[in-house]
Amino acid sequence: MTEQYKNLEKLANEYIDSIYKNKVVIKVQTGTSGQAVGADEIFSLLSSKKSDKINVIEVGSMGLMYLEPLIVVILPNNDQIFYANVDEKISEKIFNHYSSSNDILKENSFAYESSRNLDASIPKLNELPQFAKQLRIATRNFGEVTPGDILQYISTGGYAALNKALFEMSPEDVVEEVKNSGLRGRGGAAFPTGVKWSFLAPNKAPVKYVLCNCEEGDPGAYNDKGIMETDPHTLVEGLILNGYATNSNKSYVFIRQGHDIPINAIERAIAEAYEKGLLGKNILGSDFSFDMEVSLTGDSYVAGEETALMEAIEGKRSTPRFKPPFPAASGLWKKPTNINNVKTISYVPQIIKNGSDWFKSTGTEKSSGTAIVCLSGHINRPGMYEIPMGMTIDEVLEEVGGGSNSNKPIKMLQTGGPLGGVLGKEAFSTKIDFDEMAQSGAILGSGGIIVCDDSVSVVDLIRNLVAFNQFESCGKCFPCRLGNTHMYDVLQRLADSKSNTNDLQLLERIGNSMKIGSLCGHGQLGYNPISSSLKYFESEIIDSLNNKVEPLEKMLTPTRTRPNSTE
Amino acid sequence: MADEQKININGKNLDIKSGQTILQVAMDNDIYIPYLCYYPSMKPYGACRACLVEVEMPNGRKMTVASCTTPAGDSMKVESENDSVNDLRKGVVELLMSEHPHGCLTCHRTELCGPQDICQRHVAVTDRCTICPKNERCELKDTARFVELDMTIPLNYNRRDLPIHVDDPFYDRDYNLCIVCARCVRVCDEIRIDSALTLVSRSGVSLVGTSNGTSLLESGCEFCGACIDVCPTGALVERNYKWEKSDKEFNATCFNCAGGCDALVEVNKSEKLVRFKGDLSSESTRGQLCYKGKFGYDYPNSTSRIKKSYIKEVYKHKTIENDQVFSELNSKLSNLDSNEIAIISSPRASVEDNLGILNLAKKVNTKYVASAYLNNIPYYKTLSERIGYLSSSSNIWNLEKSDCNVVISSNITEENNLISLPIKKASKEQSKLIVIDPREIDLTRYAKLWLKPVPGTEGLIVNTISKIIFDQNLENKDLDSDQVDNFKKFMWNFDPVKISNITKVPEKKIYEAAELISKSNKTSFTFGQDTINDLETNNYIDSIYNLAVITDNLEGEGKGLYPTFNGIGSSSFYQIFESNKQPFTTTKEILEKINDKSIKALIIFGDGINPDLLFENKLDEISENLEVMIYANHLKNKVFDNADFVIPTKTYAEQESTVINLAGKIKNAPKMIQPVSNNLLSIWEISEKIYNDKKIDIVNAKNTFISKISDDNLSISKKPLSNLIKFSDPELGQYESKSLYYLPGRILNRPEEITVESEEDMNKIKTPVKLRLHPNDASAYNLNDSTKITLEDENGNIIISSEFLADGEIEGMITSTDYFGRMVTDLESSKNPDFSSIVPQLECKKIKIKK
Repeated sequence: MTEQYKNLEKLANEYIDSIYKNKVVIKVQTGTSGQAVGADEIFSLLSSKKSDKINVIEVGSMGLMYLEPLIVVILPNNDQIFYANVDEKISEKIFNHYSSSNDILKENSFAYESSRNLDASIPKLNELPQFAKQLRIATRNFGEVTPGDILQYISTGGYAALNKALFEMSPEDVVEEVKNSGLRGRGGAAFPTGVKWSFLAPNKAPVKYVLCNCEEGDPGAYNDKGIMETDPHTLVEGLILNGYATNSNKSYVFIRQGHDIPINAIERAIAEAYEKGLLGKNILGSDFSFDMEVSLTGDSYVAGEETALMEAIEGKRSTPRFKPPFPAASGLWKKPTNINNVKTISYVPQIIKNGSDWFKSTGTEKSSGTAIVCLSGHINRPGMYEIPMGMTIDEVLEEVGGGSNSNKPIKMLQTGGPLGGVLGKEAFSTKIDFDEMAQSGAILGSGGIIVCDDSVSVVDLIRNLVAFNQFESCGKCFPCRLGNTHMYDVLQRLADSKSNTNDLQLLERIGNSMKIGSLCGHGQLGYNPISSSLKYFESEIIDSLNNKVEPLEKMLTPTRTRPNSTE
Repeated sequence: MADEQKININGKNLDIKSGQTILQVAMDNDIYIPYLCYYPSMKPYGACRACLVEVEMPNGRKMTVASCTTPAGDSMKVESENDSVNDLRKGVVELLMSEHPHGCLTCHRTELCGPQDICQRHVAVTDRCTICPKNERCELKDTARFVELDMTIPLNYNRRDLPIHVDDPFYDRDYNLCIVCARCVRVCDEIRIDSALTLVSRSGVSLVGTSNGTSLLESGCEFCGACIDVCPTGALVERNYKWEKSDKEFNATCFNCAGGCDALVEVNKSEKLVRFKGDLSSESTRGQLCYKGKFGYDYPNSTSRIKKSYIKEVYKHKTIENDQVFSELNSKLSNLDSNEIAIISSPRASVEDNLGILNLAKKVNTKYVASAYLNNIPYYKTLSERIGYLSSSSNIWNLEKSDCNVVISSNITEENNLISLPIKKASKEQSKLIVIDPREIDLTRYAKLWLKPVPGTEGLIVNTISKIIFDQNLENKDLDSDQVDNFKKFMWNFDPVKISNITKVPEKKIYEAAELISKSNKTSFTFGQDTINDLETNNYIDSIYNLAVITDNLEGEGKGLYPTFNGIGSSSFYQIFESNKQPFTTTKEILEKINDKSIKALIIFGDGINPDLLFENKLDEISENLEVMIYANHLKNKVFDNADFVIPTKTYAEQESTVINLAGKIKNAPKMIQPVSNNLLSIWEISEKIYNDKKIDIVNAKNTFISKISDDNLSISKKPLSNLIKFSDPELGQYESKSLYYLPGRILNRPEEITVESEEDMNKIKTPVKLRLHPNDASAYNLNDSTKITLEDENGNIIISSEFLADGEIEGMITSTDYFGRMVTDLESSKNPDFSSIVPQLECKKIKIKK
């Protein structure tokens, strides 16, 4: 262990002591989901209150978003009490209680965490199924640390992996370790990460880039920005490791403008990493130098496609490039480039720290590690959960998610973003791993799972998805630009019960042109929502051809359907 | 080297040239794969997907790929036509047709159908191809027919119903027909380096347009027409002859500047020139033209053509037979002494024409013969002595490979546009562009370094750069040491501080230029004579040649000398007269001699001249001082009104002729249309008949001349350039003037300043031209901001009258910068059928200020 890192650890421990020692600490979870329900106001209220005994700190969401605003009280003896759905009044009450007492306040608490058994009337956090089922690797610091605060991160063992890699491992060792771990890309394509790195690593070019993709435009997916806003240092550390393994010079973290919470978090993290000598010249005193910058884009879903992302960083219109050449040969500014998703990178520090075998011990044979899923829709416990690969969809829905939130049964899921697929009940026994999900007709993709109960018509769902895809097509290649438009037209006919009998053939014909003919994944996968729906709900869709369905709920019409419509 | 690589396309084993895509191999071997967004000479784009093919990789993996973007690889098996790929392609084209009027494209009886037919298939009138300006000329129909679309495509047809843009100069944009292949956007960006067009919006509404939907004047369009040439549909078309179909096509040459670009020319059934297009097969143009070539070619079609001879009787012209006009004018000329007769040759004169004028000059035995725009004889003389020939040292596309391009005293984007393309391209990539020119010309926008010397002192700057390179010991070490020693002594004259005082260029900038040039491995020099007078020329050219010698940049990849000229006929005029030892002069001297009445007769071959420019607005005075004025041309204008005799001439399109272009290529320009009248004569034919009848064997004369300058009759012979350093007394005293200069400039675009309004259905730039004076000059003349001042040249002619800003950069220099867009709208609305001859020059002048 190097002097420099030891010093950092010492600094971190002193800092942690100054917060926790002999104090009651109140953690307010002020992530995006928390702020949406007023957690930021609660935080400012509590931090404005004065008490010598209490420290109020801001942390990111722990993933249990349905329970927010959520605050955690940590007593000097390390007992933790979790309070859910608090408001200003309740939180004030909690504050006032602990300013004079170390007894547990039961009101509004939903769980506790302690080495002892405290009270049978509140469950232990680890006994709750939504928590017990989880295995948190990338999200291990969720709800624990202040986003971007480097000393808090180091106190949890942060940057130890970097220190290990820089002084105990060669770049090749790091690539090998990641290869061995079986880590696959979490952005959608599930390409083995180590293999991807090994394309870039041997390239002797003087300038190479590693990019991090946080475009994440999928409706129902918020785990990339979740990681970035909750534990940005995990990402920074992972990217530095990525840069070291591939001998690269610089990293761009790419995120859509306007997402201020994750942007501020990552910018703080980068600034503090520079300050502590973890970025910039000669990191931790080693020979390795590495820079990092946040790059913002305009609103464009396709900017999440790797080559379109590069165009966007270069300041151009974000449209995909054709391949070959592949990014590893000619990427950003025509330089060799590697690009990974936020989640993928966030696993890397733990893999390096604990070894690839440790990582492989979780998950299935071909999909090692965990999946970070985002549950939303008709589900009891919407939120973000990190579960081991191999868990069945049913388990996720019923035990983690708590089942349907209405009195109607769950009818279908939409997974992997709007280009993913629609799954019916028959598929609920599918294991969550890359290959099984693909076989079932959907993809795991970004990890977003939108749950629909019986009240949702499948035609309505796919029309929504295709409308999204249509709107977000970049307009470059003809099959995607026009195919999505026509598919939407046909689905609109279906929804309006004005369809023609050959409309399904027509959809298939357009879909086929898009699938084989399109330039990038956006067009190639554009027919997925329809093809997967047909697999599970063919009869319902055919019924809609025969005018048997009720007129569907009015939805917003996408505004890029026709050239003469105004935006 | 790897073994020869072979790819199998449709069962044929074909050679792969390095870097080729599947589509390029197929095109080389005449295998048709439809494509719409790909265009030869541009980078692949991969959008239209019409070029999909099935590929079996050597490892057995099969995939369907776009052949335009996929590199051809050894042992690949490609099928461009089979049931599945044909159906797939059809599916893609169906999608595309859903947004393009296609009734006639899917109709089976188009071959039977004439424009006046009542349509049997009831294709909606607005959707018929016959109402498209590119009917039967477009590429889209080829693709549509190849994929054999069904009569009715299964998709809903959507007509965009967008307004057509018709209010910008020269061409119309109908985005209802656009298929968004982005060829126009890419050619503007990639080849022209203009980026005047862009893709707007996304998804199904994505379309071509200008940024923020402005007019082309605001978007920075240089009206080169490249976008029209690449458009596969009728979306972009030239406004003139919009609906005309071509009957014949010629490989022709553009006569509108010294560039002499290759062009494809379309002629319709009624013998009108209807279109100039870039010639992709041309190595010298690579398919590009400029505003002069693309839109300024059609004066032979003009209704104001002179079709007969005229004689002036008291106040009006009377038509007269050709024979008679010659006998009448010859009898007038026979009364005059030899040197009382002057001849001015046309800037568009071909080799034959100039040989005819030589014949005439010999007959008359006058020394007063001039080529209209050959004002600076020392420029041609020094160039032919130093370089040995009057052309650039290599093809202009060699400039693309330079690390540093130096452009001196030449407004190439307007005058010899094609040379600017490789320079602009290089400046976007690896090259540092240095512009040495006091005027703000468009190229300065691309420049890394812009030096603004007092007009005429450019050579001093170049010499000082050489001196700095010597001082820093960075010169080419392979030179003859005696020569170098002498040159170093000569260089003592060019102390940077002193030169900086004379030229008013900051010392620091001269050092920067020297640094850029000495650091570059490949530097090229493009230069003209726009701001140089004849006394300064010798030293000016020497300075450039010497700098090229001492930096080892005379010849080779990315290196060389690229002089520019005015008028395609000027250099051949010079060479013909010089090689025949026939004396000649400048128009300036001729005009002086007319003024003092020592010249009494003037014969003007007027093709391509601008009377205002040539006669400095003193035509009336001149014709009064002359006893006989003979005008041979094809268009009626001011000179026509003043001439005593008028002889009708053939235009470039109505005769075969030979020209030599800027790069030294000898080109045979074809006869493309029948002369509009039987009375028309070539310049050389007229020369035979004037003074006395003396026939010349023009073919023989031409061949003799060509064999003198060329070994292969294709281009002029270029001997290797010698490493000889030459210099003469710099006479620095002559440059130290205290004159005020007026420096007009013209640029494409400065969007933050420009306002455009529509006037008479045409977009016009409304931003006023402002003069800029140095504050010291303003106070010296006691001028306050926003007073109107008038600038007069040395002869008292008013040049400009305008408000001014006292924020000029350099003392003694009054600048103004106008917009190219304003000039273009002026040209289009001038109603002058030969607009390229009246392009206003950016002439630097010594001036006086009047309040």
